[in-house]
Amino acid sequence: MLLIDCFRRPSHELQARKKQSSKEVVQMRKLYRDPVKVLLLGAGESGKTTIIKQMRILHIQNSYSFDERLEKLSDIYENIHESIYELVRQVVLLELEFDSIANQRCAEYILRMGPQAPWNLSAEYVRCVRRLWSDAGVKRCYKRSNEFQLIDSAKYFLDRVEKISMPGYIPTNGDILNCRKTTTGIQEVRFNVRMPGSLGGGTQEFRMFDVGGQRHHRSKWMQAFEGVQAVLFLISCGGFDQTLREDPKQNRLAEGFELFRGVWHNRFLAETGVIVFMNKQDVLEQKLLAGQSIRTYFPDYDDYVAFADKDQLYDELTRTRSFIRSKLVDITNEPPRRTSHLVGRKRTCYFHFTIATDTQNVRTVFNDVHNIILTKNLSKMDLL
Amino acid sequence: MAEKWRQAIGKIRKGLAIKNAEDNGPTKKDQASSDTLFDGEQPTLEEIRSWGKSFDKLMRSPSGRKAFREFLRCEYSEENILFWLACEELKKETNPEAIEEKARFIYEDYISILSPKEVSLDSRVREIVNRNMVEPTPHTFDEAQLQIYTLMHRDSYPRFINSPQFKTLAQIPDGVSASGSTAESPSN
Repeated sequence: MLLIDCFRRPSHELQARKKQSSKEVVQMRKLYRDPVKVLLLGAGESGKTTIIKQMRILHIQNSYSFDERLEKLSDIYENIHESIYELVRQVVLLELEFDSIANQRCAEYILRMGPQAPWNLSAEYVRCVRRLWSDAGVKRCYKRSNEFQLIDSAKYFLDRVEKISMPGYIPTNGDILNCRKTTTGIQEVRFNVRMPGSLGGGTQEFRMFDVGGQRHHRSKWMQAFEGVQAVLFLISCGGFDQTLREDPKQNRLAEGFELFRGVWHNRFLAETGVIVFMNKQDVLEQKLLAGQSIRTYFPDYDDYVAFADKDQLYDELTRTRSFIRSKLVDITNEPPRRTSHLVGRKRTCYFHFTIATDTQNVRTVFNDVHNIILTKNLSKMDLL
Repeated sequence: MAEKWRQAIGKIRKGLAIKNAEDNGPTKKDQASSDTLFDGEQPTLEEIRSWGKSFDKLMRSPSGRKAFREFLRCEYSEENILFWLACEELKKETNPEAIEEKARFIYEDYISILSPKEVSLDSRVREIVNRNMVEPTPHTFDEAQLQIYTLMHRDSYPRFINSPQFKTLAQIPDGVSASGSTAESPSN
């Protein structure tokens, strides 16, 4: 992964580049072969870093070396421990009960370890985690995990704890994609994407910027706005029944809507293409299948369903998805807060239903994104 | 061959003003050509490489913290290490009035949601800090400091040791992992 290389570049050179770049941007866009700068935005745990990982898997050869995979093991252990520790803690807090005294002892063993993950997964540890993960009390607790903060990959890793603890285990792409780690600051990843034959083939360089999503990080996002051709905005549809890690009073999906409003109407992004990834469709589906409904958190869902086209929106998942999309579309139709020369110009927002951890899904969606960016750049050439 | 190699390494090291563990202190000449990253005490190559093996070692070394801080500035997350350092300062303080004042400054600079340098804390830790602020002690921010330490360790540190900047300092060729994880493959 390439990083923002600011050690080596003297600051006066950076300043000069800044001045130059606004002029350059105009020329650059004419040359659609120049690097495409894409910015990933969205609230915390919406899936931005997972998209970056997919770009590495899809577009960088030998994207994760043997060494890098081994380095991921400690993050995976963290995910396992964070999940089981929080579940056991919540069983106690929610006044649920473990199946047996033996399981109770396992829970005590985990709690005694504290929140810090172990260096390796001992046989005793794995035995305890497996016992607890199949415990009925823990299962009830897991069903109520929207009431506390549990990482979305808890099930993925707890299901696989025995396999992962085997000597010589090498993390798979699936493990890497599911492994949750908070992002801080801004990072850049560069990769080349094959161009469609109709445009002469060859490759085009992409520079994708990943940012921390929690509230306080957002003041920094501006640093990466310059020269951006497209914003990929991620919103976690599966988060409709969860609250924010940084604010337990705020609904995650509602936060996503608020944030989208801020990004869509941001004057520095007024000329930037916006593509929305309505992410975590798998989590959304599981929750609906478990009998939960978005109506509990967004009462206006009932009005939406009442007026919805029954032929097209035949099941709960389709209806819920369309409802979320309609909320986003409404935001794009709101009048801009500030008057600017752009008032009256029609902007298109593109929507995709995504599962960021599914490489096949991201491959398809990214091809569409690439086409949108190419078409947009070509039409801009005509406009300028 | 071995001699030639040693000479080449020596040249590079001089350029970076990094001395060997067995070398004497840096001469004036060395300091003149010194990399601007480190002023004062120059770390040995051995020390620099140890930063790649352990985050604790990196954070215990003043020049390690400096190199890491430069890196974090590039990634727009310098406030994390600044907060951590401020907490370390607070822990050394014994005068009750100074403790109170320093704690307020730290709160305003890094915890308050109005600060541009606010660090990433979950609501549980934030509540603990808010409770502690009623009567600040040198350990008011301990949980928050640990959370930020863990955040830097898990997110920024792996990128730091794989960055061209660190690899240059530690003289590790590109494509080789700086943490030396091959040496401790899980089959052992």
